[in-house]
Amino acid sequence: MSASSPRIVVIGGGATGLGVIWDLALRGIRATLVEQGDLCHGTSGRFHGLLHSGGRYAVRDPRSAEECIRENRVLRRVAGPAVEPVGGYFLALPEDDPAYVRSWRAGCEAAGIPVRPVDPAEFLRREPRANPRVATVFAVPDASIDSFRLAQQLVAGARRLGARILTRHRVVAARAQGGRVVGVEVENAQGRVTLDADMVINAAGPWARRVGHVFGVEIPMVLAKGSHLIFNERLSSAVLNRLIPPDDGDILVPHDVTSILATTSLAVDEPEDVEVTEAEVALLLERGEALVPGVSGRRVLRAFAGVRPLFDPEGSPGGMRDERAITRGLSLLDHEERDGLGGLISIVGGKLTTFRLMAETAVDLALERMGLVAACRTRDTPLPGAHSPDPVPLHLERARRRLGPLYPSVLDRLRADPAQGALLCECEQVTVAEIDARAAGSRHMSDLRRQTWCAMGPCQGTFCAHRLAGRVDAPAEELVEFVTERWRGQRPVLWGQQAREAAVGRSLMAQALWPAGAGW
Amino acid sequence: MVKLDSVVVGGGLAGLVAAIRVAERGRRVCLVAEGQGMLPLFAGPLAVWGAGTGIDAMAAALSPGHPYRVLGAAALRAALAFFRDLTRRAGLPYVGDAEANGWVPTPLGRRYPCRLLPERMAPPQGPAVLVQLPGFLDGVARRVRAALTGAEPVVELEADRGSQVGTGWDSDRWARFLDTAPGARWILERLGDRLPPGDTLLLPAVLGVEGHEALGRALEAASGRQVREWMGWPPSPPGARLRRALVGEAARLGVDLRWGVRATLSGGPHGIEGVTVVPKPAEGTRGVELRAETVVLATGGLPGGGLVVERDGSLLDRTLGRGLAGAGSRLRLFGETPFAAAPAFAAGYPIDGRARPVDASGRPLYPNLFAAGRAVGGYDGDREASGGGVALVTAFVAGGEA
Repeated sequence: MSASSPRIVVIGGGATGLGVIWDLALRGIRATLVEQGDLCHGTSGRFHGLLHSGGRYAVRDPRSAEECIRENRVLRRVAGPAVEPVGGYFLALPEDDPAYVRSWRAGCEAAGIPVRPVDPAEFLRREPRANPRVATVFAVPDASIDSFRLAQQLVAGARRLGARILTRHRVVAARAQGGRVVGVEVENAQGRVTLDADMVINAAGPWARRVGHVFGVEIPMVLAKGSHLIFNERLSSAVLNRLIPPDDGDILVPHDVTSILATTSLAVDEPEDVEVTEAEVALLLERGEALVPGVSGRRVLRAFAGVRPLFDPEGSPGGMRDERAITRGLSLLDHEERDGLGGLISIVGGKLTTFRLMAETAVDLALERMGLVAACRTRDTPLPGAHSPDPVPLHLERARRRLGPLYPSVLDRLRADPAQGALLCECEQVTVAEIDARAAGSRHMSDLRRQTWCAMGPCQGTFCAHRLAGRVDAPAEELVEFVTERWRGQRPVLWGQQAREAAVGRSLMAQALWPAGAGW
Repeated sequence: MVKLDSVVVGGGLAGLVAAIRVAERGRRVCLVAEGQGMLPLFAGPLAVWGAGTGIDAMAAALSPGHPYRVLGAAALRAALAFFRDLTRRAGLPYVGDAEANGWVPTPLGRRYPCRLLPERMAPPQGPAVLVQLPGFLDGVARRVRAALTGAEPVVELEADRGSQVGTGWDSDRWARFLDTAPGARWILERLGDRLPPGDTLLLPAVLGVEGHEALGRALEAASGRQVREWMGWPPSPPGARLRRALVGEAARLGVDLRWGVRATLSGGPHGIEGVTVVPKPAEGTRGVELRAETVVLATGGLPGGGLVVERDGSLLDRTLGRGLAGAGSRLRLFGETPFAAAPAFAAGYPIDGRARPVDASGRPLYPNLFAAGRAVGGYDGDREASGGGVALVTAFVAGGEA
């Protein structure tokens, strides 16, 4: 191993893996990241979008609470437009346990979470749709965070510093010599490639256990599915949390022009188990009534689920126990120590809020193991696109927030050709310029959807999926797959207007794609 | 209270055709509709049976509850002929063969099978030249030509420097522009001479709504070719043209047209006894009571909004205030993929041979209530490519009975 050119491979293109590669890049180390699908297709793209203040964990999981508030402050500083500082409230209803309220306040104080009591009448003036029976309210520094934007910022920053990011590359085999990992074999549509490595960092989230198996190590994990509902409107201006022990449907997060109601928690076997059941939808809506009465009558756009990768050293692998009792704190596994396999580190557990800290911890250990010294800089280095040099007109503000580092190049396109300003997706206000600029990177329709929010609005692609397919010349099969993916999230919440719109969309697609082939 | 012979609830294709048929029989009929119906979303061509078999063979092979089977091959033929005559009178002639499919190119380069098409959308004759409008996102000409030989030349029209023509325009915006004198001039100047060789000019279906006939003829004269349109994405000018033609014909026949009102039916032991209509935005205000001998329910089913999926997965007919047989749960109501066969997409009333909604034992719900279009169940118009034909035959029979 040459100290001047260490070879590090990071596995997993969610927030943690991207955080690791950004951290390495800032320390002057050019690494390679491999991701089996698209960036943030897993847990990082399937959560409530809450940048925790830590209040949720103040009683049962003080370490996690402390990590959350610390990272909350850091990300507000460095992540720029990916964070919307909406603030948050914890509210207790008359029937809620006052003893819990007391221990919650003590826990927040111990963790360093600033908590401010708010007069319920004042709170209801600010949040008129919230439950009017509210008895006790506290303000906390919650925020909402857009992980897709965050991912784009991390990628832009890391690439600028020489990092290599390979999406749609799956790790299929490990190579080891004398008890040390020396490389990984990855596979993509074109075939297999071997990447030499002095160090491999496994940041594959819910897939971490499977990646561990490739290296012959066992990582005890519990996978907990959390289901969410997205509403067509912003039901509150700040995050609303129930002031009770963490439970189903007790968080409502405003997100751009939508709201996300979260979450359920069910142990599942596989990372791919992300189907939302009708019972979960009913449960979320029923519980959501306590936050916002009447919420079950509002229009739901989609249901989606993410799988939390919880580290559970006490449980049997995949074992069942109350997963809400397992820490949300991060866990770093040094497989040299644990399993006698050098050159492999796994980072599991944690939350999106703490992704940066997870990355820092993992890179610290990796460098220590490699005998390198370089200080972490992610705490104070703004991500690309975090600060716009000039004030931006209001109608471009959404585009700026979404585009991050790509914003200037899109503005250039618009200046050169005003026709590029046409909206390809009306619901999410996505311009042709934005699609064209993104398509220079990936032409996959689903990648473009995650990067631009195209087809994520009320019509769920009925009026723009064909346009996107036309713009990037996607084959009909890819459009069918795209429409089918949109369908999966809609299906559990198809009632009322949303069911009607889905029926109209089906008719349009069935005509335009006749005979539709796949799924016909 | 207003006394009439018949009330038609719903102003889409089925409602308008049913009302016209009732009026032609010399009866006093009122059409009440909450919205504009689904014609503005409707691509224009009428699909009858995607599989391409002749009407007799098709009807014989269908399951017993299918509306084609219930109403019969003769009624379908008569309905298609009725519609051809009706559209000719209304100045928007539909052409095609009732027994075999024609086709129209789709924006994704497929051929959509249909048996009645507006003349302007009939299959192109001879080699074609495709036209790409500037900034038009709802149909890429290079892709559309996959429905033809794939090698047709494409003429890319450009907007003038600094002009915003086409930027962000959907089909409806284009049609409104081309309906104006400057719009017509714009396209005639660009599609005159100097075109690549070919017998047919093929454009997206945006050649105006009110002035579509004159503009089409002017374009044929200027270019020296046949002019044809391919199928578009909503809002759809061919749907708007058909709506305009049918509304005009209904008005000419004296149909009392009331738009923007919500209707509820009240039934008694002898049948539907009255229709209460209230202005749509002002629910809770006192309604107007209509009395009629017969009522036609043409409320559009699930896509049209007449039939609502409730939270528990049950189905509600909003007009009659009646629950329909659902599937017991929402997930069973809808399939795992959007195009799979699923109860939701065949939802609606089963009917008898006179197009009357019937209960599970086959008895009419009310002796004087008829149903047409998507309010009728037992068929999947998307998978079968049968929605146009079912709308016409149910409207034809219901309008002949009501």
